[in-house]
Amino acid sequence: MVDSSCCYASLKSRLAAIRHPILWILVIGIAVRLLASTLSIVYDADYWALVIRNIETGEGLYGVEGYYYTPVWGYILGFISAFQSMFLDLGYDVVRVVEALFSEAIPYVYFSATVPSVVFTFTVNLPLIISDVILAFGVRYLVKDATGDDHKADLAFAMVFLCPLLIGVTCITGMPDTFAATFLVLTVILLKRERYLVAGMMFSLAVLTKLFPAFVIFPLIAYVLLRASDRRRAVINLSLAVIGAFAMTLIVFMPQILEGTLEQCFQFITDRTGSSVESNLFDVIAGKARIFTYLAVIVASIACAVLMYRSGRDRIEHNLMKYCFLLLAMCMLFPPAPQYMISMLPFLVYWAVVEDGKCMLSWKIISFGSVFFITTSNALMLLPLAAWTDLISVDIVVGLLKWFSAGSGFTPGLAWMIFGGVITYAGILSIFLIMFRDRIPFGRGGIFGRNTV
Amino acid sequence: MSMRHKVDLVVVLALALCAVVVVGEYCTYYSDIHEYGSTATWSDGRVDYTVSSSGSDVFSAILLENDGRKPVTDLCIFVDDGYMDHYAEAHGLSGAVYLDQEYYAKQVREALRFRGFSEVTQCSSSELSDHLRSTLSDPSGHALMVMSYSLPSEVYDGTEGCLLLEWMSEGGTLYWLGSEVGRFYTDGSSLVEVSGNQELFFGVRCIHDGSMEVADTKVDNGFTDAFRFKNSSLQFALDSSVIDGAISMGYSLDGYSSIVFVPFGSGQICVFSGNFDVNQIDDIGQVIASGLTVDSEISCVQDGKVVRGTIEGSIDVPRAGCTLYIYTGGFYMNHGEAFHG
Repeated sequence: MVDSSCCYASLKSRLAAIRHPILWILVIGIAVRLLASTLSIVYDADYWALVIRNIETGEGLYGVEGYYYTPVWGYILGFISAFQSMFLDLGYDVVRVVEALFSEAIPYVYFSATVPSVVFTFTVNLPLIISDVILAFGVRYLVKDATGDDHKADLAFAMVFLCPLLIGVTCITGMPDTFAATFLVLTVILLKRERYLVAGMMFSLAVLTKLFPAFVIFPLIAYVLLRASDRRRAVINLSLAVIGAFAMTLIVFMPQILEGTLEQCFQFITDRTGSSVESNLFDVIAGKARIFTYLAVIVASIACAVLMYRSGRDRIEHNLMKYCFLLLAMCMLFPPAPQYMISMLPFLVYWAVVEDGKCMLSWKIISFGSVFFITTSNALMLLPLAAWTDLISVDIVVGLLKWFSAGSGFTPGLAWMIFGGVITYAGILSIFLIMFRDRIPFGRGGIFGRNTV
Repeated sequence: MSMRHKVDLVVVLALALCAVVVVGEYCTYYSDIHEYGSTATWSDGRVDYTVSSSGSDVFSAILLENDGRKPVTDLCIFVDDGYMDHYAEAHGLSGAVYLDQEYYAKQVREALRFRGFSEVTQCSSSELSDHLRSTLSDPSGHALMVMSYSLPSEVYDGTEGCLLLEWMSEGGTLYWLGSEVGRFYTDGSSLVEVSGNQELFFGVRCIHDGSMEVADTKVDNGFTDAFRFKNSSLQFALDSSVIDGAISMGYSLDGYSSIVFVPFGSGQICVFSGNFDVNQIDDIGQVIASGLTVDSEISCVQDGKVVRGTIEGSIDVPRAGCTLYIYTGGFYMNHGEAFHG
């Protein structure tokens, strides 16, 4: 018979012996994520269940309605689905909670009364959590590489892995933006290690997961050209990266190219940039503003690349990270959505830890604001627990939701969302104020002090 | 001197991630990982069935009694090639929702395909009249789906003697969605509004207006749970409580239900409420593929789970002419098949 007190003492001494902070951050971060996964916003999780169903019926990603993004995340769902099919015994189902049907008619928000099981949400969130881990280690690598300081590297790891924004987007919203950020960070690391072919492949995956990494393409090209010892080597390196990106793009789009349905992969652009049929003036303005923002970022990206190229190899790493950070921050100006900011997060953390400690303020503001922004659905986050467990009753959840979000006028839910949105947006704006504080009238010696970069 | 190649772990990690994506792509499009099937054998007084799945899936086997009415076995989807000519006018007058005709027809076709219903055709404005006439001698088992706000005048002109109403009276089935039933017809280049269209089709005024409204109650007659109906939007829904012989399914509010069957002569009309939506498409798939009719009653429902194998079951059949509908996957079903006894 095993002595339980002996086991406990042994476990305690073993845990005490583990002193590396990364391990504790990992344990805490994963525990928080597993807990947060039970509080998911069911809207997107419901769509992932639908996409997996569509895959199971042989319709691929676009054969029937349900998937609106470029294919990479859909393929990861395909991987999850195959894994579930071959090895797991979930037999999962989805329920329609009648008492919560009213939530689908609440204006300004996307709520759903269709609730996948908690187990299903876990299986979908697991790869996202693994991506979070890789992302945090990637940023740690970049910081260590730039500073050689383990403490700063660990701090960066914690700022990424324990960031409420990342935890919320991965586990509560259940969006795949963490993959885009991970692929982009790996692209930068691989370029630094002069692995151009694989870097190109990673960049392709980053762009085909979420569009935002595409906006840093010109500084990345400038970096590849500048890193080379001579012009011939520069052309070869760039060619390798282009071949890698092109090959991966071709592989990703192969099914749609063969089917002749490539345009379906880009529905998210036509549906969200204002070129589709808008229902009202607000949609028209929002659509045009998005197009204007992205055009401006493309112009800025080219300008950054030119500036970088003109600066030569002097401070090339510094310039690459600065321009990637600024360009991604520009993308966040419109439309502001918490999940989009994940692409920018690794660069914000890097900049705050390595280059300019004042950017820590932006990280804090965004982290604080995102807690509100991500939990806009509030009580509805408890619906999976209510529908699938006995921990809380559906009536209590619905009662809370009605008080919080239903009804006309300025509901607490609307106030919550606006407050979170304003704070988060202030965090984005603070990035520019901090980065350009020497160039604005009240900057030098003002509220933000002198630029230390 | 020996050469040592140091393994770059970042490259290995990157290639592993690429491999996950590529394997996922293969599983999504090219593998046979997801396979489902079902069979049914009718014998004296009972039906034996099997359900198989390559994964882990819940399943339902539903036995329907149709009171002698023949279930729909082929569907023609009317794709209005002049849809945009009068859409703005129809929308202004009735609030008809925009439905991309070709796209929606494809969605319906695919939703029916993986439910084992493959007899689906499309017809344009010029072909619709010929299609109805070709089945006019015995339209039972034949169905027409309309997702446009109007029909050509050769088919429907707002009178009792028009081809469409005659075809339905003789046993045809009309599925309607996205607008008010029979509100308009198109005569040449003009859109004509029909007064009294609701009375013409249903005997009373019973159609919900085009405003966005969501149901708050499940129609509790067994169909919604058995078929896992989803759509709760009530635009253009019928108030089944005021229509003789109507049967409602899905979700409801103040008598208006998301799916309503209404008898019409020897035929029937089924109205799906709401806007274009994955929930609505799935409901359409379940209703048509299962062979539900205005006379359907649920005789028995058996639920279970099948894990990488085949499950066998049997149900007692009360009388001849029943339909057994089997589907796997639960709410987001991935396979369905109807067996008519």
